[in-house]
Formats: sequence, structure tokens, C-alpha cells
Amino acid sequence: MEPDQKKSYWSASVKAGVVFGFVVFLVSTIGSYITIHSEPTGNLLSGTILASLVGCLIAIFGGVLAVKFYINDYGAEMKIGQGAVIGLMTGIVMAVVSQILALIWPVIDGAFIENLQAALIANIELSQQIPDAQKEDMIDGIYAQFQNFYSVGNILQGFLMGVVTYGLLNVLSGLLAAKFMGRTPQPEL
Amino acid sequence: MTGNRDLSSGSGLHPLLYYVVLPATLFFAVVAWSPPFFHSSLLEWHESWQRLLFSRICHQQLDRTFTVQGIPLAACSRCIGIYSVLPVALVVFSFFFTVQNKAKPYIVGMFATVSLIVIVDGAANLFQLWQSTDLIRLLTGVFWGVATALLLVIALTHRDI
Repeated sequence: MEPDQKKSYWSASVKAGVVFGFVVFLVSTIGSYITIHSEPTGNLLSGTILASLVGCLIAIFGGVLAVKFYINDYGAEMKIGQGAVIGLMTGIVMAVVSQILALIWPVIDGAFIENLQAALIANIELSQQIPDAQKEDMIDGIYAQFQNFYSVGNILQGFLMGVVTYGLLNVLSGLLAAKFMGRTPQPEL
Repeated sequence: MTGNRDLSSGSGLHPLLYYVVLPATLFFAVVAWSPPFFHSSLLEWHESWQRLLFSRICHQQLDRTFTVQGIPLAACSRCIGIYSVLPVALVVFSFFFTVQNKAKPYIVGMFATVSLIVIVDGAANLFQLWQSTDLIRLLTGVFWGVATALLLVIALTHRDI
């Protein structure tokens, strides 16, 4: 009888989480620079928002890649619940990695936050979608949001939102990947 | 019939559906609809955790988002269709529908087709090839939610059914 190989989800989850956390950060940062370097048009669908949306669509595949890594390591026999757990862990790793990189980047580019803030405010000022009476409030909200960028509350909130969204999305993609790429373990006789 | 069906799941569906997937989709649906019930201005909406949560998965563009008494929902018209119908469709399909494995390719194909429609419409709107109305966006979201629920139900159906 072969010795039982201890199966760990961590290796697959960390590998896929790091890769996709980096990709999500990269897409989001590129989107921010698109916003910074675009002429303000008043359209609130800025590069920043669009990039976070595209990043999220990409992030769904983190759970799929993690299940693929797990199958490469241990074979295709797995339960759907295992796929869900692998997906959840991948989402958490992804949230941590993308959040850390997002905190580091403004240190590398010192003008990043200021430029992004200015670009977002310029778009709000030209926006036709927001009543004039509420524009000032929205601009104040943006100032407050960026001034608190490095506050503990803001960091924890970003991390928590990342865990909830990336975690739950990757639970779904992980269980779907386990269903369609894996094989149900046969009961031992 | 043989196999290791989970006895806790009388319908032959995986317990994950009832304990994880359904509560999660219900959570997103409730949160998506909640801002008008808690906030009274755009500033409050902008600073709300509901908007922040969905900002990672929805563009939340104000002119493409339904409002209730002037306060936008937390997700755009297409996403609100997806999140609203997903838990309902999961409940309906899990109660009234068990899927044979031979139906799998058709459901996967249907999911792929509806996904393609949503992607094409979304991209066309983005690149201003045409502008869909909020009703069209809502309907494409609803169809995508139904197709996703079907896909999840077949994924969470025990294989020996």
C-alpha cells in the first residue's frame, strides 16, 4: 500500500493567488494612469472604474487556475467542496497581494494619488450625471477618500471588501472548475 | 442506485449550494438593492460600504444605474438583473429541477451563448457602437443570472443522479 500523500491546498492557492493578485493590481494601476492622462470629459466611467471591472473579470479565473495547479500536483480526483475551498483561499491570497501592491505603488510614484485625485475630481466637475448641488459633496468625498488612503480603517476596509468579492467569486469558479476539470473520488471498498 | 449521495441533501444537490452559494448570492442581491433604504444623498451613497463592495465588480455608472427616490442602487442595471435573479433561480432550479449529466453540454453551451451576448452588448456600449436601454441591460443580466444558476445547479448535482 502506498503511503498516503498529504494533500495541501496552500501551494496551488498561493501560486494562483499571487499571479492573479498581481494581474488585478496591474490592470487597476494601468486603468488609473489612463484616467490620469485622459482629458476630463465628465464621463464617470473612467479608466479606473473600467480597469477594476476588467480586473474582476480576470480575477474569477484565479480559482480555475488554482484547481488546475492542484490537479497537476495531486491528480484529478477531487470533491466539489475541495474546489470551493481552494477557490476561497485563492481569493483571500489575491486580495492580500493586490492590496499590498496597491499600498506600495504610491510610494514608488509619489504623485500617483494626487494626480488620480485631480483627474477624478475634474471628471466630476464636468459630469452631467450629478446635480450641481451634489457635486461639491462628491468632491469632498473624494478628498476624504484619498486623504485616508493609508489609514488603518481604509486598509482594513479594502482588504475586507477584497476578501468578500474575490473570495466568493473564486468559491464559485473553484467549485465549477472542480466539477468540470476534476473527477469524483471513488469510495474505498 | 449506488454511490455516496449525501443524505443531508434530499434533492441530490451538494450541501454547498444551500450553505454557501445560496447565502452568498442572497447577500449580494440584498446589498445591491439596499443603498436607497439607508442613504439619503449621493455623498452618502458614494461613501457607503455597499458602493465600495460593488465597485470591484461593477462600473456603477450613474446613468446606467436604477435609482429609488434619487438614490442609486449599488450596482448597474445589468448587474442588478444578475444579482436579483441568481438566488431566485437557484432556489427554483434546486427545488424543481434535477439535471441529468447528459444535459450538461446543452447547459454549458447555453451559458456560453448568453455570456457572449452580454459581453458583445457590454463591449458595444463601451465602444459606443450602440447604446442599449436600461431595460435591455436588465434583461441581459437576468438571462445571464438564469444561465449561471443552471450552471451552478448542474455543478452541484451529485453525479450518480
